[in-house]
Amino acid sequence: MRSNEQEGAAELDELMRGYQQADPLATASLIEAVTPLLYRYFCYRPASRHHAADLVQEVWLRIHKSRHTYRHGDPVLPWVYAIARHAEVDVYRKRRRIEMVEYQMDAVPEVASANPEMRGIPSFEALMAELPESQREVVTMLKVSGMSIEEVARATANSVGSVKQKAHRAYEKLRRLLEARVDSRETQTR
Amino acid sequence: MTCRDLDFLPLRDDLPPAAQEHLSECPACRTLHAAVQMQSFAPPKELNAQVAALILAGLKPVKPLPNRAVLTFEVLLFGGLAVAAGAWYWGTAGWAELSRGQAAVMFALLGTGVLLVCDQMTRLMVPGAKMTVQPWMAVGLSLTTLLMAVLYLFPYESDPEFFTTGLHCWLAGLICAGATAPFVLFSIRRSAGVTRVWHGAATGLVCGFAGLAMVEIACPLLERSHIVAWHMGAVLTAALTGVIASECWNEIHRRFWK
Repeated sequence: MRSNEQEGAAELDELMRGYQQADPLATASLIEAVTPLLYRYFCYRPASRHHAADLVQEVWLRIHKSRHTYRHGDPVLPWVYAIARHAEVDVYRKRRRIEMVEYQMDAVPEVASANPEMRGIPSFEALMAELPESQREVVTMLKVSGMSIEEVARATANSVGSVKQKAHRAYEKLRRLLEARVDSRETQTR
Repeated sequence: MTCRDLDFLPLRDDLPPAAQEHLSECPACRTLHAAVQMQSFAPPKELNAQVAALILAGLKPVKPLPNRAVLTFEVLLFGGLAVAAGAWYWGTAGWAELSRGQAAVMFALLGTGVLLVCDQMTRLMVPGAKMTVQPWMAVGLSLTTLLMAVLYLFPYESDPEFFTTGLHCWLAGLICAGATAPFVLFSIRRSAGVTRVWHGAATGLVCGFAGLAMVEIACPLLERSHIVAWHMGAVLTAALTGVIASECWNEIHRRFWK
């Protein structure tokens, strides 16, 4: 698994190099690889879900402006997610300031239908809503974006220890919540 | 594998056998894993094409940032030149008054502080860079050690002209810091600017340290309260100015340029 991750990271590094040298093929491949990750990341964030597509475009504009700051050999994903976090905060503040709270129903991302075997388990989004923002962010990057602890630490400008602590606390809380819900369901069926 | 080990693994389909075994044995982890995997978001089909059209239209080659050592050297060079110019203008009476021990400790700590903060500043230029020390820790550590050294090395004496002499030193320190600032900003002009407040604080602090070094060389008044309030006060003022300037820049950028 580790070698797959390393291969993926090396491939992204090569694509970034091509992007910096204005290679259209490498750039198109990079867009294809990164866009779904960014979209999923924003969809898992309650404040950003309704604007995920717009946010992805905004992040790409910022990536384009800052592409010279990427250093070869560094992991690409923490670089991308650090820009994404910053863009998200900026866009959120701007939206709040101008009070433009329009939710377009056709822009709401589709949610995959629940597996019938999993009925009764709360959705991941509902579970995440129970967590504080900092823990939610770490869990999203770790579990949804598939980044390693070190990569999450880079993207969030935290220490590895702090990320581990946040992830552990978040999962302890999620486990407790799930256990409580399963217990209450069992009591109801009796 | 324990629940804690699984917490730190990305949940992918190709989980290692130990993780899969743990999932089969632990109901809590299994339920959680299922909840994470239950929801998936598919991006709209046209999104990739829209992004590609946006990016490929203005695609030009760019020169990557130079490495951190080059940037640090540039900043140190500009800072050193500002200190030399200040010492030429205000004189070197302070350097003559300092004992060897005082000079060695003060300038060693100043040098270490400048290197530490420069390192932070150049790391902050790149989004998602590996931070060996947290920025607040670097700022706090460099200022605290300097403060401790001043309190230990210099005696306290009552000074009736505390404010008049002090204000002169504070202004001289700030002028030197202000003269360093445009050059430091030139060195870091290609920063991505995702952590502008810390960047402002670090830039202000580096410039403030240049001011402090110059005042230590120029000011012959080696008294504890004078150095803490006015010499180090110039460093704090410069750092604060950096933070305020970066916040203002952020706000202007947000309001008018987007």
